[in-house]
Amino acid sequence: MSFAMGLGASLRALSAARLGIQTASQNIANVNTPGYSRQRLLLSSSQPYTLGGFQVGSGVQVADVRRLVDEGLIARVANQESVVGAARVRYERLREIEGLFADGAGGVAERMSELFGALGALQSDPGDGALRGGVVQAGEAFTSGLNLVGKQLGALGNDVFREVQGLVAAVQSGAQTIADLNAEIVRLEANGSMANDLRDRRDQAIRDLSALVDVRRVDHSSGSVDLIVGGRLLVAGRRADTVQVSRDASGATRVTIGSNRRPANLEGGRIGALLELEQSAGPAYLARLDRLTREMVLGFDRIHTTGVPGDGPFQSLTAGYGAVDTNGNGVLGDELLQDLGLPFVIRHGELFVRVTDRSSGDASHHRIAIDPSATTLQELARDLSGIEHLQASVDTSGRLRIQADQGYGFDFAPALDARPDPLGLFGGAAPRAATAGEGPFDLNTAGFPQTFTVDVEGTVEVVTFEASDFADPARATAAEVAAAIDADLTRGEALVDGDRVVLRASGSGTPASMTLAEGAGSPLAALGLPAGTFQGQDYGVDVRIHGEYSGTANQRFRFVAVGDGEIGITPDLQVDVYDESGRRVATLDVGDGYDGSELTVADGVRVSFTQGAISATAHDAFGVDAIADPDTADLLVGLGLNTFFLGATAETVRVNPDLVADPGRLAAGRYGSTGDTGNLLQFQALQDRPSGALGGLDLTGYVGGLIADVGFEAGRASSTLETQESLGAFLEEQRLSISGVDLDEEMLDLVAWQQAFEAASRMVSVVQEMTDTLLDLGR
Amino acid sequence: MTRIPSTAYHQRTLLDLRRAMSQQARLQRQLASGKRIERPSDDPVAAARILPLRTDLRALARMQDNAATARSVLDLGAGALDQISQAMTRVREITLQAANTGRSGDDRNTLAAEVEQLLDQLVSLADTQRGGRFLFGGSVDGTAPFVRRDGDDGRTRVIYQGDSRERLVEVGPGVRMAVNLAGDALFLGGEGRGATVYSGDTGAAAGAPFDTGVGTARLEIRFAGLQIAAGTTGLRPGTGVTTALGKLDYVFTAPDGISINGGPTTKILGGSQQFPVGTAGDEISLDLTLPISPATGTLRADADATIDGGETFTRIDFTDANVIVEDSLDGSRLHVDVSRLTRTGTEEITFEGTFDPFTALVTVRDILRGNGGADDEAVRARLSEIVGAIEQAHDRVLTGLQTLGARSQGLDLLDSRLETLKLSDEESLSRLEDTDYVETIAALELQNLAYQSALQASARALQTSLFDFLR
Repeated sequence: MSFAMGLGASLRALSAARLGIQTASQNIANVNTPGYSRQRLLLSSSQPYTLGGFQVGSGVQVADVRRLVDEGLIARVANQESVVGAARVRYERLREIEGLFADGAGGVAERMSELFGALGALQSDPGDGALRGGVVQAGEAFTSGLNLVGKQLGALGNDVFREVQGLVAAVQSGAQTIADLNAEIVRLEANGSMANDLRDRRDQAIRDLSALVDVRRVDHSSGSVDLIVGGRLLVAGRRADTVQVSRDASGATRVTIGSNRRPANLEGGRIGALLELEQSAGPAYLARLDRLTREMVLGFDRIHTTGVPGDGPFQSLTAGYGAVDTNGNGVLGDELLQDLGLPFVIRHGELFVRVTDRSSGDASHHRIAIDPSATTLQELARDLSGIEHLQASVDTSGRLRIQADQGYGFDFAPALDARPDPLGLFGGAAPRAATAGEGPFDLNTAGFPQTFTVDVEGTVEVVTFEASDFADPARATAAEVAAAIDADLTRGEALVDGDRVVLRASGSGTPASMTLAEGAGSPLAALGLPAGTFQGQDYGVDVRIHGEYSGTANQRFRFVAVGDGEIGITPDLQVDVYDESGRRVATLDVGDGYDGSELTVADGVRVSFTQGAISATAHDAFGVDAIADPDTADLLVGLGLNTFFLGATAETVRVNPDLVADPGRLAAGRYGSTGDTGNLLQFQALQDRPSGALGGLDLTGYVGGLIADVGFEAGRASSTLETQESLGAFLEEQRLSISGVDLDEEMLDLVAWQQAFEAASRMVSVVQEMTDTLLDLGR
Repeated sequence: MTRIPSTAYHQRTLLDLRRAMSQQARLQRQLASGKRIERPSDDPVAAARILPLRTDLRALARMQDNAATARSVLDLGAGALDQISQAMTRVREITLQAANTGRSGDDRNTLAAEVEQLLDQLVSLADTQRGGRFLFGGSVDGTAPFVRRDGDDGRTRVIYQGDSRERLVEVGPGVRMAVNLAGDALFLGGEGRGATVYSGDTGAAAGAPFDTGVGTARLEIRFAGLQIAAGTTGLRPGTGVTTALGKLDYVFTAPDGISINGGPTTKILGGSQQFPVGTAGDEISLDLTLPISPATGTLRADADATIDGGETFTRIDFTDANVIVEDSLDGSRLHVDVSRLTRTGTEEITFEGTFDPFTALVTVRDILRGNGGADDEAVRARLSEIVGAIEQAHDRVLTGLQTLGARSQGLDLLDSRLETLKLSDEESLSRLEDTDYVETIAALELQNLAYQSALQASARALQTSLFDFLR
């Protein structure tokens, strides 16, 4: 045996112990280094040699310094990092949204109920300027609250883009780091040793990257790792591809990787969650808030537009919305009502305009049929101008402007016309005769020309119909018939009442008379005009309508004289009342014994007559519009005429500036007197009225549901985050239980190595002593 | 056995302490704010239920406010009506006094002055305002509903300028109450309208039953001109007074006698001359020139009628039996049957059942003043008659007073109901959003204990290390 051999084994032992101590001290030093995996010396006994037929050990040899890791666990930890990252973003965002809806003094719901509160307070004194101002201010607080929440919900989208931009830069640099580490690791491990610390750093870098976006790793035997993100190869060996952020046409954030221009489908991690939330959370809640705004504005303004301001009817009114030149021909208002580019839809329906004579207080309603698919804004203006004492035009900004003549005013109130027969068509003072039925009239049978004579107090005039007077003689309209008669008449006139034609002599009083007689090919029978003599009278019948219409649908009552005679005198004289469908709703006894008192017609409508003669022979009749909704077409809301709000989205809605400038314009009433609370009561009812568009909920309920959903979602995000964080902590604990440094353990190792070192040193001194002994022998 | 390295132990301890800390902080915030729910996610269901409760509470508070205002309006109205009622009682006293005891004209004038004063008081009470708003004008509350107008004929009219609408205010959930009484129904109610009675000798009579006047009116009928058939010679209107009206038949008896409407044949002297008409003492002024042709014929003496003291006239030409005379001061219309109208003069007209407080007072005052020039006996008779009308008007005021009282009482009941609703809502709200102090404090104590124990245990465990025992 050679001493040298013993010395060699000791030397190896010493060096192994030194390495062991170094490894332990490396572990202790990195006890707090994130991602560090504890390292372990791998030892084996060194190659034995044969000595005298025996295998003799030659000591220890260091096989490797290995980090202690579970690769699968590392991947799962990285994965969990991605899940936690996504959960955290969702939690943060929803908490932000939740903050917007959290109901304090500034909450939308609170402000909405304050608006209704202000309207309720106004009931006590509708004419009070301060209370009116209070309503307008509450309205502004409500809209500014909506604007704020709307803007912030919209801004969440912008934030996503900016945040993703920053995160993508981190992804880019992380990917570069990993690619660089790949190169290093491959180079170092080419000689077979393990690049432990570099691998730790790479694992940590991958883990950090996973927090941003879901990463799939592919390990190669060379030690290099490829990373796949969103179906694209982000890191391939030593090369990292570029990541870019952009916005598409719809404003959505898009991330592309490498030269592929199609957006990568990023999922998981902070970025994945942000991209998902950009499409879901903010926009979804904004859409619901917009729906609320829309319903609120629509419901509110359907009431407001048909109300009357405290200071009475309008002299002029300008629309809040301007028509958009959607057909691009440079002319505003030549588009159909459905194509004006307005926030609210104008429907098929009708509009009642009430024109009031300011001096006498007499008001009359005019009905305009609205067909948004056939009428242009210009045509609507023309129709409105067709109403006596009104002019309407489309101004240079596409806004409809309506103006009343001096001494007149207009509004859209539903109140019944107190004097429904200003022309005196029912027992008026002038001699008159009307067609039995309504136009169009079939004149074809008689051939043309057709004539009849009108004798007004001895002056005989011949009325001649030519075929050219009518577009279609088989369907001659009341207007055409009236025009044809008017052209030939100087001592009387033809009036259109509904679709009837009424002939009225120009004189009035007892001596006045008018005689109709058949001429050649007389059209009288076809028109249903009675031949005969009709007398005037000194005092026309004064018809008055009383009460308020309580029906739910718009209605026109027709009052028709039954029999000829004097009201209050002739026995059994009656007036029949028909509704629009031709059903008789009432028969009124106005003969002897009638004393001018109010008679009930139907649905809250009452009528009274004064003295005078009425005639069934002359077809005496008049109509009364009983209006439940003066604007079934939503035209006023659509054009922004006399509205409380303007705008249909949470971000844009505002109180009509006309009202802000003059709270007197607030339409508190339905009739126009200062103490009128009619509209205020309707607003109150609106608050609790379930709406189909809001899923059968009322306004408050809808906001409540919105807030509950935000709460639920935020609560869910919070508990998800908690669960996933716990899971992450558990996995990390598991990883640490394998890779973590335990100081006690290292301490023990240190002691063990120290002892091994001491023992090996002792061996060296033993060999030395043995060598000394031998040398002494030879001396 | 699982290996728990010191790093893992540190991390776990930190996580546990942090969790305990946040739990504790949350409980502390709940105690400090008194609110169990800070954010909707703390309890989404409760958060959704809180909202309508708050809205309800706000609405209830507003209704209570409205009810309080309504009550003060009603009370003010009732106060005014009460004073009006007192004034009416005084007027009745005055009337009875004047009717039952013989009084001199001076005494009557003193009483008339008092009635005049009461009338002014009545109008100002009917125009009672609250904060610049008139109580009795229906929905027209910005202008005085009752306006006094004194016509040139010495008649006083009190005109209503409001409407008949009620001013509805929401004073409870689904409860709307009218806080006003429209002045027309309260003071002017026309339902009890009876016959229109004419007292005078002109022959004018009540026409169609559509009269709209109230109280009393004076119809004055004057001669308006003579209509002479074309082709009549020798007949011209005279310059004297004509009292006869209507169609007058004349018979000329040659050489110089004329009889009109069956009256005595009178000798024609030439020039303007008065002729008797019929046998009732009416006259006509004619300027006749002999001879008169044709010998028999018909003249027509037209009339002008006025009920506003001559402000406006309505021509009566006898072509129509029914004539409508309008009062330009208050717009009321009188329907007169003129078929038996035979002479000029004045008709005192009473619209039975229409006396409102104002007209009653005006009538009493005018009778006391002696307008119309009736004798003492007639004055007393008329005063006795008017007492019924005063009582009727008074009754209407008392009915109004009752209505207001009933509403005020209704508000009392409503108020306690609102209070109950409010309490129940507040209770629900408190249950939903307020911190349960006992429970929360107990939880906080427990949490605190757990936190302290954890801190102590970790401190001990973390302190000990193998290093401490190796020398």
